[in-house]
Amino acid sequence: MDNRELGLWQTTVIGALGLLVFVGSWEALVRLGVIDPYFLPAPSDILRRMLQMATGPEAVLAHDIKMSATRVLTGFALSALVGVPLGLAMGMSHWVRAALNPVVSIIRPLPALSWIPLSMLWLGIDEQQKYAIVFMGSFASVLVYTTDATVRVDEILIIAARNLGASRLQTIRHVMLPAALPNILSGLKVVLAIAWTCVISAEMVGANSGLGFRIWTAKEWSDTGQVLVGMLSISLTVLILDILFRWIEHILLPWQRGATRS
Amino acid sequence: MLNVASSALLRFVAILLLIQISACSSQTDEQTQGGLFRVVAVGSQWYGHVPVWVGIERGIFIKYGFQVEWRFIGKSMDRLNAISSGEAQFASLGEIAMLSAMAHGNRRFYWVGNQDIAPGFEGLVARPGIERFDQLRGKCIGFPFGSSVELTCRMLLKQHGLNPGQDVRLVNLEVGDVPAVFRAGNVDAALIWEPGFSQLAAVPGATVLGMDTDTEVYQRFGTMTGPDVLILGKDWADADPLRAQNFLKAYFEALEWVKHHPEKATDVARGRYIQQDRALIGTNLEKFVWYGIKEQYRVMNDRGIFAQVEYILDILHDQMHAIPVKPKFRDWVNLDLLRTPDMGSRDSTSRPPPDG
Amino acid sequence: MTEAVIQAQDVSKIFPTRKGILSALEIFSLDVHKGEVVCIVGASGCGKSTFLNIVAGFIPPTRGRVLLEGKEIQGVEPRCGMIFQNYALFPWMTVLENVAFGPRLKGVSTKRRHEQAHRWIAMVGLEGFENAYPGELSGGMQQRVALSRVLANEPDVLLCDEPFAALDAMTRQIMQQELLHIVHKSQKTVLFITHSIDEALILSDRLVVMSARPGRVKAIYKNDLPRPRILDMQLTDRFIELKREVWELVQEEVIGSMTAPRLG
Repeated sequence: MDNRELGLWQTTVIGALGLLVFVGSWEALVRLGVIDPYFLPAPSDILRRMLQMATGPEAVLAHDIKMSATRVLTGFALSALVGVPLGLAMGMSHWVRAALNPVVSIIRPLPALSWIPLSMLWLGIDEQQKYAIVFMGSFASVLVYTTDATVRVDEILIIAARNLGASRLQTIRHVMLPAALPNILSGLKVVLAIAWTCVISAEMVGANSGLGFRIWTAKEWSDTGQVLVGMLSISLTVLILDILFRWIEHILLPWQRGATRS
Repeated sequence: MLNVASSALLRFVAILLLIQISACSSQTDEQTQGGLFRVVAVGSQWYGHVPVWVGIERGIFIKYGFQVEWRFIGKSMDRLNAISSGEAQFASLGEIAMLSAMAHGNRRFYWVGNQDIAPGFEGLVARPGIERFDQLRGKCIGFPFGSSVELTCRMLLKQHGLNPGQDVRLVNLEVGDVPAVFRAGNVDAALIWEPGFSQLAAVPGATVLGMDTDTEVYQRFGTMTGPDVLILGKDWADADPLRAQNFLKAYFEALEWVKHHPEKATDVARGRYIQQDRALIGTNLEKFVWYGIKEQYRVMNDRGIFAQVEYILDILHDQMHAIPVKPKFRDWVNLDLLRTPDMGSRDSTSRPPPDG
Repeated sequence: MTEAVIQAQDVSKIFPTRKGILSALEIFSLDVHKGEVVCIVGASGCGKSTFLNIVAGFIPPTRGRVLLEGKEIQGVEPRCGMIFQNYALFPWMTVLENVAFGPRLKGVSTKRRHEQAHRWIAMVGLEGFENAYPGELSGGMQQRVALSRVLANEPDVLLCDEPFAALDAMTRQIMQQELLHIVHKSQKTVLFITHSIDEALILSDRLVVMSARPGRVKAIYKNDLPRPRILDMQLTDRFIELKREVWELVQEEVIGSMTAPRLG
């Protein structure tokens, strides 16, 4: 009984209930005075604060989301632009992989935050520096996911294509790329969320707008409610972008629609 | 009768309460092996912390039965949060962070004093080529948002007919980054307090456009924009008020020593606490006016700093919309803690006998 | 006797492994004539797939050579079209695109290659599925797509690497009949690997029994069972007699290989 998969509406209802219980007990604990609202404001207060920041005379939220999204998506696009071709090369050539792997292993564990001093030294504090932080924080992951996707392409498809007369270049274009695409895309989807985690680092220095900036200044002004609005906005934006990304996947991979159905 | 869900909730609440209680008890009962009370004091490289350093280095705190541990926390609000969480017990910090925390309902601390007055240590410095305020139009100014220099900056701009929201671009910088960012030319002007300020002013061709002494606040109240305030953890003080009084007594004894031995205080500060030229520390410390324990009663009232606080709150709330309400700051003031404990009635558990 | 399309001359193949040298094929010689269906049977691991990969040009022989119409095979040889056990279809292409893939590589115009593809799809009985993706088809249908994809590429030789092993018994028998039908219609030469003696007897003109590793030709049978080989034929005395003979040879090798050391 337990092993049966849940239907869409069941998942939705159970998910909503879970959320309701979580938010409800949070609200109750703050109202009952168990949690000091200075340390954690009640959900209703956060919502009120959010509406206030979205509409009121300040109305900074939309602009903040736009600024952060621009920074994150630009950095992410750069990562993909450089990381995907390089990852493909690493996936297809043992030589390239052997040559680049050590460098990637060194860069990959570095948090976006650790790039702040160097990025400021090289690029100052303008937008390029923020793109660079997101880029450095997400680039190695793009590389690793793409390499992995390429390595995992079924060898037999390449053999079959060669047998049908495909040159090496044709094999890469007509077989490697489309075969690796689904895993590259799902990798990019994960990296997009990683890129958003860099926004806090990117907007720590030299910013005057954005969700990360809003969180940092809210902390300086001791405005815990605004900190949480910023955090919630990041979550919601990533959620919306994830849905968008799924839609793009749906368009790009028509052949996977049937596969998921059956 | 309880069902499963509510008993689970109760258990959860109980655990939370337990954590609270254990947090309280661990901070009140913390006593080191030598019978000394352990106090964590937090602060930055700012000169306003010199009395703490002197208290530690000259054994004044130990004499009063306190083992004071110094921890570096660069930002005022981070220091206040360290105290609010119970991890630290004592700090000096900027008035603006304190007022902001009050405005957001943080009731975990007492405001017990204003130990010094030292205007002229922060200002607005512009890159070569910018010599007048009107040349700042359309330019980029960097400083740590939410600190005293934000007020200094906004007041100076306003006094010179510039609208901070429209005529210039303001960007947030980390305290430690300000000198390097300014030197690299990434901003056209910057503000910071000492010891960063002298680094800004030392950039060849740079112009000091204005100091905090040029602001209305100084002209009206004779204080810096965000004066130093002394903060004590509320839970820690309430758990043993006598101990808190003793601690402050020790602190102010150290302060008196600084007042009378500025030269020696410089030696204490240099190297271990401030990485700066000895002569520079010396000249800067000379500009400090220190308020001792007796003077606090004169300073901490409506004719003293409270009027300045009202003025600052007006700016923060009415002009900058940086805080949601103007807090009743007097509720946080606790001058009882400044009373010298009556030596005769001292409790041996709250104050171990000084050794030797 | 007609001309030999494929001539394998003293082919040996050695693989270096971590445990030592693995000799997969040893002095293996075989001629396959035009329009002939040759089945190779042998125990698993006897090197029959290795031989097929050498003919396709995927791997070079260590010694000896394989000639295709008198010329030595060097590198991947598209004239030897391969049918794989697990179909190897491109999942992101429709049936039509899969079948038209070979001509597309050669630069045949979209219109012409789609016309050709439609013809081959019709031949394997998949009209109406042109726009389906492989993932939406059954195993038997997928193998038909694979077959038409290879045929659309107009190879001289069909190399079949146990293509029906993954199918259920009923589908397998239908596919065998269809393969025979198509091969006879298109006059293709077929080299077919299987471990099913039944399958080999139904399909082959000649039947090669391989020894256990290292693979050598143990025996070659001329399969004189009458065509068309409909299902009833499997109950005739001649079929049963041949099957027993071949089975005894294969059995010897299987038992021999179980006692012999695995690495040479």
